[in-house]
Amino acid sequence: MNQLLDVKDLSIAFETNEGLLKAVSNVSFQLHENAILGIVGESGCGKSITAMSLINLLPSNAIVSSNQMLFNGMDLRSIDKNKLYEIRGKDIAIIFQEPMTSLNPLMKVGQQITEMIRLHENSTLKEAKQKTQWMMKKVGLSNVKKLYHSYTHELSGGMLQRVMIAMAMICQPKILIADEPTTALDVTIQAQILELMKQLNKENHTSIIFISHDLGVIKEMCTEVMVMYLGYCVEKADTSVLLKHPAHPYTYGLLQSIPNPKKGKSRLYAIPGRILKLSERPKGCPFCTRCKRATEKCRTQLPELQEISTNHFVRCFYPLDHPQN
Amino acid sequence: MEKEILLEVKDLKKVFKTPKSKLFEKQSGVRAIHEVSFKIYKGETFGLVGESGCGKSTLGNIIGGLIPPSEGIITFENKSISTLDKKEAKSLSRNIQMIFQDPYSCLNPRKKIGWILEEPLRVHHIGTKKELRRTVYEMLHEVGFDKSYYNRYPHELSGGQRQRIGIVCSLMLHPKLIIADEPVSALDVSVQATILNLLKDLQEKYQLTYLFISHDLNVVEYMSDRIGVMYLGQLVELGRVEDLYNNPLHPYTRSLISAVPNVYDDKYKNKTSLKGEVPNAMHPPAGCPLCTRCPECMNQCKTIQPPLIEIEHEHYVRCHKYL
Repeated sequence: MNQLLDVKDLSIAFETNEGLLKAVSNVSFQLHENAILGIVGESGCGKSITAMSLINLLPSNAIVSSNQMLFNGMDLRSIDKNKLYEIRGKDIAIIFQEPMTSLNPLMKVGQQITEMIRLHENSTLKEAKQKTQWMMKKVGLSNVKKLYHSYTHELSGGMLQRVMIAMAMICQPKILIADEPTTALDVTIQAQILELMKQLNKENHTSIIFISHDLGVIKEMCTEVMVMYLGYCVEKADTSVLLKHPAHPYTYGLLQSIPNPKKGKSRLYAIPGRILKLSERPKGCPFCTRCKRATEKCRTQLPELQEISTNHFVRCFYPLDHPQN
Repeated sequence: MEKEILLEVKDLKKVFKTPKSKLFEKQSGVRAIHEVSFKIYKGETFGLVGESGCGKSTLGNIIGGLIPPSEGIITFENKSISTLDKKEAKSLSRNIQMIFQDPYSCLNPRKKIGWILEEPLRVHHIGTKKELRRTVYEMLHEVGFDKSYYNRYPHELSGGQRQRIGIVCSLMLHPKLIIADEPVSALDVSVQATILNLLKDLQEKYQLTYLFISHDLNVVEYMSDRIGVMYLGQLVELGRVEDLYNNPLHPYTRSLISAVPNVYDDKYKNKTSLKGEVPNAMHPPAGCPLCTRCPECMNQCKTIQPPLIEIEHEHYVRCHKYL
């Protein structure tokens, strides 16, 4: 498979009044053509900003550094503004979490999609309009002619998310970043949207970076998963491997804390402690304050990301072998 | 053994009136709750699931006494709630308490935790100042906080900690019924498990009865003994957890269960996903509420409303298929 995106040692820090705040450290990942990469983690773990940094959507006080950030052979770190505008939206598109607040309430829905075509392609207004309506139909919206002229407040959350997807997909991007696209939606609508994204992935060969906190959704969607905790990538593997044999205590804890119908009503496993603030990041392993297996070594030294089996990376001194036992 | 009924809801209706836009216009309204009846037994957890806008929170608020019902009877310990005078209503509120969804907005940001927790006791004139403080210390200890939290402000706590304070606050008066309205949906997964465990421990210790409202089917399944499924203000299916999850009867319940992404099993591989979206509650369909989206919709579904009937022991469904 072709490698589409190659990010090495990405670090993001924010300049704040209290000094430099490290939000993401040494995150590396590759995205292959036609693949769906999941990024999981709890709030504040840096999963969204990792993805946003690719297309420079971070606030101005962010400092991004990395050893490599290749997109299709092009270095994303050194491209100029005009080139960035060209890529953003056309080659790398994004779907935000809350469709209700990320669309322009003063502009008609259709116009917002047409704007994308007009910006990135040399087509007449009429062609753009036709293409918009075709795309709107494709993402499962009905009565397109009328919808084209509606405003966002006239549409429901599920419909708006479809509009967002239509907007992101209209220029046939190579990479689609989906930042918790279904978190704000109901389960039955979520199922529809996930189905649609899978279908678009298959038909258009769009690679997807799928950000979510819900391991169930990740399982449904992704081929590969990266688990993040406090700005570090703590585990990375194929989805089936990760869910069956989690090697990092955090991943294991996350999986265990989801109610399991097979185990019945026994007590849930809860990861002790709380999620630390970024300013309180420990010196050693980020998870050492909540880990049962932590030793003195964990508290003082940061473990490296090591490969324990093919394509299964873990950042832990003492990875779990067979967590089922 | 005959189970003791703690709360009974009969033919409950709630219509929110919409403001008139013309002078002689007929008053219209949104049908938020329509003909809902169920019982909650002592010591059990009754789960209420449904998508946003189905009326589950409204139902919780009505039972909690925050909004009056339009029609119908609610009886708590064999006493009708709606006919109570002011004094009785106040003493009733000691027995029914609520836990709210958003731990960030349900605590007064300008008051200390101690003040917030003492307030329910003050409202009901229980104990002297010293006693209040002691009770608060005890209750804080109960959920794993030390005394120093008495003098802290809500902004100093994390989301999980705030939710625990919210839970303590509802427990201050030792109520019999607690209405938990989406208590964990604003929290992260690892924190969610802690709160669910806490709720279960407290239930055992204080013999609490829960009305557990949530949109997360995994969580509801874990917490509840019996579950009611709501759609467009109506109870479409009601039954014990095992019956409902192993043998969902209503097409809506079936698709709801199959739509939930599950980490553990692929039992519901062949998805029966629903088409379209929830219709506007201002203009609900004339017949079965699901008829616009149902894959098995028949002719009579579009015009006649099916009644809630008992299919097997304690398993009720509202669908024409089973008539």
